[in-house]
Amino acid sequence: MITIANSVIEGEEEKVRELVQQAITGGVSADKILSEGLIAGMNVVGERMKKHEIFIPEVLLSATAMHAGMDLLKPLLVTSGVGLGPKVVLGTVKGDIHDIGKNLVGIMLTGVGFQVVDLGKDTPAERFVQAIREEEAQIVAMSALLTTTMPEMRNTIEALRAAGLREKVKVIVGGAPVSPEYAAQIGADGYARDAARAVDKVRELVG
Amino acid sequence: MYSVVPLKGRTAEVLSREEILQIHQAALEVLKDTGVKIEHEEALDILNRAGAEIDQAKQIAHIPSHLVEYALNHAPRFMTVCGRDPKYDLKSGTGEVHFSNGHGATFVLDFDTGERRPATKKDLEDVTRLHDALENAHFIFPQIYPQDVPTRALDRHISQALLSNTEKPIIATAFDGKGARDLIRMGTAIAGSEEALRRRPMFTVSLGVVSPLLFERDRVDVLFEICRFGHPFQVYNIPSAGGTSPATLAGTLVMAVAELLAGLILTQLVKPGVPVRLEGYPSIIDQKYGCFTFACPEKALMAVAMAQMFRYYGVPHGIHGATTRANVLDAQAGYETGIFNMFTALSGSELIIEATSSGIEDTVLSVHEQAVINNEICGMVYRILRGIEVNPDTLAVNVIREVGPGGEFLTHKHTLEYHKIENWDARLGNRMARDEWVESGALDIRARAREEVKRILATHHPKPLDTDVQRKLAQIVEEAEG
Repeated sequence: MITIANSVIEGEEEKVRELVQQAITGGVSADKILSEGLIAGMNVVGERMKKHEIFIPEVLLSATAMHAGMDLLKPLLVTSGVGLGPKVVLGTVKGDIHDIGKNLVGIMLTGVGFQVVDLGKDTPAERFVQAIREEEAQIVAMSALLTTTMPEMRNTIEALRAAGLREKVKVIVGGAPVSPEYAAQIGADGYARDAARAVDKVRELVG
Repeated sequence: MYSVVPLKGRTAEVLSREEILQIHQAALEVLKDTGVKIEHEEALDILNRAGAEIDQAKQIAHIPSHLVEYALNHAPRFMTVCGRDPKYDLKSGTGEVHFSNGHGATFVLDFDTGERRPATKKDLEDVTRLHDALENAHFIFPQIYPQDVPTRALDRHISQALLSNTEKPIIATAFDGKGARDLIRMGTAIAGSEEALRRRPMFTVSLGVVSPLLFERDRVDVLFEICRFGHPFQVYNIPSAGGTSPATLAGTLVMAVAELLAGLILTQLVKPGVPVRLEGYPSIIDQKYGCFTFACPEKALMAVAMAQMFRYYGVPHGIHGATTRANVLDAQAGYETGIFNMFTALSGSELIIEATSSGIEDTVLSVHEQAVINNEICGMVYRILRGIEVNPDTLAVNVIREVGPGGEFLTHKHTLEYHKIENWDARLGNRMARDEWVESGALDIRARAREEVKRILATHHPKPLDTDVQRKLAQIVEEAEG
């Protein structure tokens, strides 16, 4: 499992595929491969990212390697009844087309086993509400890069309340102009400064 | 006083002639093969009729090179943006380097309390007034985007604040077609008539291309309104290497050029001959911190390269000068703005934006003192750009003979004649020896800048607009608030 984790850290996609296949053939449980191999590797990547010890393109390389391993495991996880992680509905708010940061959050969350439903950019409140209802998500994560679109975050939280869904989800927000103070002001449950910290926060919120 | 052509025409070059041509050719290829996405029916239609191939479903225009030539043939090489006071009129194409302040801060360091807080409209009015007084801010951008006004009228509030608090030419804001029409109404109210506004345009307005290669509907609406009116326009972009453009600086230059040429083509198809300034501000994504930054040597390098491209095309232009990512007014704030202002000014670009900005924290935080310090930096930069005058009089062989070995020049008539011309008037930075400096309060540059800010804000008031004009502007803003 350590070598799988290391290959994820090194971003070696082929190696990860090879080792995961070996482990599957060798009878190691999918759950163990996922948590002690793939996710363990991504956790190290996340820690280094928080300390600015590695570069984003390298993080993405690791995530790609991790997903390659995950693809081999998916059929097994479903049949074994071991569900994938909780669902997160993710999107950039209405009027805002900045999505590079949001995409990174999605990649990091999938990288540690969450199921991410990415609604993309320019997502109105109603879309968030609809997706949360349909996917039975536990987390909604919103991104905004403009001070002029930030208010949409509050609108979405209001829409959740109106739809009777506010109590059913945890709300996390982020983006360059967003701050912990703003998050508290609009009634969000959490804020994260970057994708690695978003993973920490989401984990904390689902308990 | 504006400087003349930097170092008598010897501008910094980072690209060779061949490299300029290669970048140009690559940009043409991008325009034709990849094309640009334009979320605007009428714009796509105009391009179609002019010979571009349109993919309607994807809203992509594949632009042939003959349209680039058309645009360059029709876009004026020279443009003038006027101040309310004609002494501030900015002519481009003269070879002189001009500086502007900064753009888009959303926070300020409260001048009295030092608290970092959201920026207000009053902050914008104050900092505009400050820049009106600073001699090295020639073109006034919205330094601050107020956080205390309704979003739907933000552009009108900004334009009103700028038009009311400076007599220098400004960059106004219009975020959609209706905003553009309101802006023209404001300009007409100040100028007296539409004709007067056309004759002496007192602002420009920008279309910001969204890299990579995307023109948004509202922004194109603004282009149509302003250009059809016959008013000068600007197209700008901020591609970020490794994020919204290739990680290679050359690739980012290619994209920057392609996008701006596409914008230029659109303006010239909408209204042939309308004056347009192209402003390219390519920079990078810092891959360790996962963020965009302007405060990097790569930006300065690309800025000088863009100036070369703009000179090759022969268009009015602007490049990005000083920005610091320091979060406080410390040595980093000084060295970053110093290095970037000096190097970009050496490009000879007719407009260097952010040069006298009050912004730190990568343009996010406005601090009055920084504007004063940057103004001083620009003064020093100007002196270097002015160069060395070499002629029989300045060679001073006779003077040297008269003074002779072991003599002194201090009391010579020649020194009296030349010292004020040759030496830059250093006003802000310290030149005192230690004992005098201690005696006068041991002030560092920030404290000295602070004194200057206090003096300016207390005493400097640009000529106010006539009361009926002020009322008209306020009315336009109110209507927009709805």
